[in-house]
Amino acid sequence: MSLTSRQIVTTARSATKRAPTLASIAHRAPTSTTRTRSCLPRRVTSRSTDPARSSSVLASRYYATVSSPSTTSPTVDATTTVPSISPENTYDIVIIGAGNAGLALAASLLSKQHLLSNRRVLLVEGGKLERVRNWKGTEQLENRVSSITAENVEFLKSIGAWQYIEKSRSCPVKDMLVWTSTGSASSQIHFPATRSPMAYMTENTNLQRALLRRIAEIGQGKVEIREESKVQEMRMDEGKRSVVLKLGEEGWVRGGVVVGADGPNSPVRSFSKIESFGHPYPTHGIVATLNHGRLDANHTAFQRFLPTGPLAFLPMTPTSSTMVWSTKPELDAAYKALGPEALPHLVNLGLYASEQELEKLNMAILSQGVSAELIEAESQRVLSTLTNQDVKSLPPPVMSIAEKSIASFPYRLSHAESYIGDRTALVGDAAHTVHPLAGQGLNMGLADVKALAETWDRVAKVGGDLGAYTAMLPYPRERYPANHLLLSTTDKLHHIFGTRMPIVNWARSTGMDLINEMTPVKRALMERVGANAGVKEKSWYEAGADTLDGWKTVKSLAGIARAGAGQLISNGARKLLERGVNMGRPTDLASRRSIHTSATLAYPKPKAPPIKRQGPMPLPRKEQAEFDALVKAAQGPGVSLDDARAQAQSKTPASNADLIAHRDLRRTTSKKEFDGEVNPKTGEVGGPKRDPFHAGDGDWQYSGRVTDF
Amino acid sequence: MNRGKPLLSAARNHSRRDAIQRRSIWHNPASWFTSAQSDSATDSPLAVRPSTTGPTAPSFEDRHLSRSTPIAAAIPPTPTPTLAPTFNSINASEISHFSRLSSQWWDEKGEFGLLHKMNPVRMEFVRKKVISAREDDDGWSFATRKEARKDFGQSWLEGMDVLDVGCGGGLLSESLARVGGNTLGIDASPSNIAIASLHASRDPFLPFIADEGGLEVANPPASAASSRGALRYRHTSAEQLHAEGRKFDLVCSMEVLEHVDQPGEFLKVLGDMVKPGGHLALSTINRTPLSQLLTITMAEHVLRLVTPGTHTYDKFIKPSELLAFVRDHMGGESVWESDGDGLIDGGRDGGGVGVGEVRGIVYDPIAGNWKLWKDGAPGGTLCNYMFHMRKRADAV
Repeated sequence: MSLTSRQIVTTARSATKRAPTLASIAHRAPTSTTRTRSCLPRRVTSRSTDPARSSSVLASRYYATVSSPSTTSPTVDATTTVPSISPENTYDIVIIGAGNAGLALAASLLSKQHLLSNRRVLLVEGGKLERVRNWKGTEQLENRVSSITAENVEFLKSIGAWQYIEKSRSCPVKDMLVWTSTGSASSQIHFPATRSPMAYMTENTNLQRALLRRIAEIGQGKVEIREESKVQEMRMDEGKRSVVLKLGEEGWVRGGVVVGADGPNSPVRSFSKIESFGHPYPTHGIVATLNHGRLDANHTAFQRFLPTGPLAFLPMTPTSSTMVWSTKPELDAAYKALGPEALPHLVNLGLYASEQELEKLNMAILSQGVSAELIEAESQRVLSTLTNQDVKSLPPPVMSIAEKSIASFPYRLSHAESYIGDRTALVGDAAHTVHPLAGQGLNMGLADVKALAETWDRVAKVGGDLGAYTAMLPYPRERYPANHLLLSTTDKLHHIFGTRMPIVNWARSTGMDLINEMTPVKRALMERVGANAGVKEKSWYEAGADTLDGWKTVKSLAGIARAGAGQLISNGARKLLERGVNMGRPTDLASRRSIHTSATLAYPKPKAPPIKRQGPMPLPRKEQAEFDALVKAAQGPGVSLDDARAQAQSKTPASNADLIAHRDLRRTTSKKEFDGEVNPKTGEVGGPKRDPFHAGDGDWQYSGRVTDF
Repeated sequence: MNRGKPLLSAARNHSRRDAIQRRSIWHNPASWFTSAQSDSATDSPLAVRPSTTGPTAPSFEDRHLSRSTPIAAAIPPTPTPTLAPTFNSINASEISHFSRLSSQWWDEKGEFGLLHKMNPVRMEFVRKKVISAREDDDGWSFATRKEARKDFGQSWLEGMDVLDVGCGGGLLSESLARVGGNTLGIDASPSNIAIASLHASRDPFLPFIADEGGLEVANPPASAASSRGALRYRHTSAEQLHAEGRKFDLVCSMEVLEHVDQPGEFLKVLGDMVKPGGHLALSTINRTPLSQLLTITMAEHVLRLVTPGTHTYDKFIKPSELLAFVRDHMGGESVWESDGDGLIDGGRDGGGVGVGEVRGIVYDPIAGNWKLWKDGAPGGTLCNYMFHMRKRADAV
């Protein structure tokens, strides 16, 4: 037989042998439902089989669903010969699944300057992309929404896809509030507003369409998309240099490497014989689009940790938000059974009612069933008891739920034991699925895609074989530990917030308080969820080789550690003491204060003034006070530095407003000096309405700060 | 004196004896050839040397890593028993036999795993050198500084004739072909050539041509992949090619120098085959206590990453010896571009010749990959290192 003709022959299989053989190729009996569209037939699902099921059951399931063992079936032909595959059907990379991960991979491969100059990519999608292509951005909000972290927004910008995102449908999240129980200020973490959004809430279709448009823009002749094309069979070619795939009616194609972007029940993963471990959560997620009163700025993500699971309230537009309510499967069913009229009120109860009230309600719903009217009445009652503080800090009451936007799906934690196999790689949900409480599922997928594209770009530069194990190895080396950390962290959070054991309860709320007090830790947490974009980690190796830089890093780390430790001791100890003293007592603020002041347990006062802002380490106390006074004075409108000095020396503040306002507050000093277009002093037309040199120092200034040196 | 430590003293005596022997052979790099010649039966440098002259020269068969012996000894000067002109005539048992062996060469997690990981770094070094030379030739200007880089992309060897001496399973040759090089891989071992050919023929993206000189193209390159170069393998020696008068734009010989018996002659042959303006790129192992510890003690005897007997300490070559040899026997700066500073590891004097560059490559066991050591940083060449030099355009 000629080697060049590349004939792939499958020998005849007896009926008894057939099922296991096919199973060893890719197929396992379906066990769990999947939310995402699989581009393969339903029968081709993951290896996550229930151990209770015997293999014979599997086999019979297989026969029942795949093909009857009748000899008329074409798959039972004695020999399936693959005709030699033409160069047109030979692709360097075949990506299975045109979901966000698959499309992002194609787009980021295209964004590499040379990677696809002599390579071709095939994107195989089982469903239709028509709906995504024709999405206008004016339709009703979809319930499948993801948060895209700032880091990944940078990534999407770098591959040129972000420009195609429908901006009116992508909501920046600048603020985050996490809490467990209403009625007290404790047990909540408020992540303050950052200058740049920490994430963008974006409908999955929006991102998908943006990626498709980017591919259509620059992918001509490089990326080919085959829609409604189901992979029926995958085989390793002899010599393990390529994988051949049978795509429906279109026949066979050859791929140098196959990427599984095909969702949680990845057939590519099964084909690669990569095990996936994990467990399902006894939790379902209910998603819905919530309508509420118009907000000035709907940029805050809320998440309440209920004993049954977190309830997330994610901003989309000024009048609507998306809900992800993680709860027990039986409650999920019961809630949905109440009907769309009752659900908005139920959501309000979930947001505002106390845990005890909710528990009672859940019991009632599960046992005898509760009428929608009762829930509405209960919701009205709870809403009327809200304090001003609650109204200010908590999400707005829900008025209605968008039609047909209610859906639910099961949660599962899973992690493939490897991201690369023989000529295969896994990205996104095919490699890992995560509890959505941190909103990291899509972000992990995008980070995978970025790492894989970069790995291949490096490999191609030095003439490597893209599908080789060693060539792809940097990809899992970069992503596996990061993903695993995130998976286990979200898993731990789920368990910590899901329990109501008193000791855990205490530890949790104390922990939340501690975190809330510690700005550096909060900053670190926010960086984890993506508030800080573009921070590149340095390997120990590079740090070591670059001695000077390494030393600088050590020094700055020491500085941060010192500052953090100081704050931890000062605030943490105080909180712990308060907690210790307060255990079992009423937790309203007034009584806490009284205990506080009368307690003999004095906590150490911090030596240095606590860091409340980003900036250099404070000067010695006296000099810092002088400096602050100078700065404060100089920031006043129309005050020259000399005035400020005089003022600081006389120690009389400029006004009462200065006493109240924070010293970092930027004053708006945009008082016009003249009206109209023409400056009466200089005759300049269309210039600034106010002399930029108003402080008298000859520097350009904005709000009293020199902007140009 | 050494009563208390008999083992240690024995070891010390042994190492001292080695050292004396080493000094006699290695202290003066020029003595590689004279001593080798005086040992051999005839005076001709290309003469057949008995392969069992000493413990430091294990026979070809003895070495498990039959990476390459491009000496005349391994191959008689007459046409060698080459492969059948096409693959198709090879019978199934041979294919299965070669496949078994090829699973060694191409088993990325096995014996040659470290070599697989080293390959991208070697390519990166060659790439840097070739691209900077191309930029030099184009004439650098500030205005076109970015355009010049753009053009090379991933086909930076396009239009260049490339020779890979001691190609083994073809790890480097395939990479060279993928970046556009017109690559010829040669090896003294027919089975290596067979394995390399078999492996390349299976890759649908490699423009592999089954037999040099023959016309049959095993893998007509896919339309989009047409810019990739051609890849051929041939069972022959460097000397044979040299005798045929072949010249190349880039001659690579990776991890071969420490396996040949007459490194000097071998180097001269390689140097002769470089076209004016072409490149010579080598990688080999330094002769230091560290390299002995890492490549022999650890890799072969303790961790068993490599079959024991793969490396022979006394055949390792120091960078300074290499540079001195280039100066004294290969024409020095009159033949090769004097672009280097003549320093090794940024500090030590590399034999007083500013030809080429010696660059260390270091295995990072934590990251699990090789790194090209920083240019000029100390300590990089203590074990594995790469060497590159470029022939002057006006060299004869």
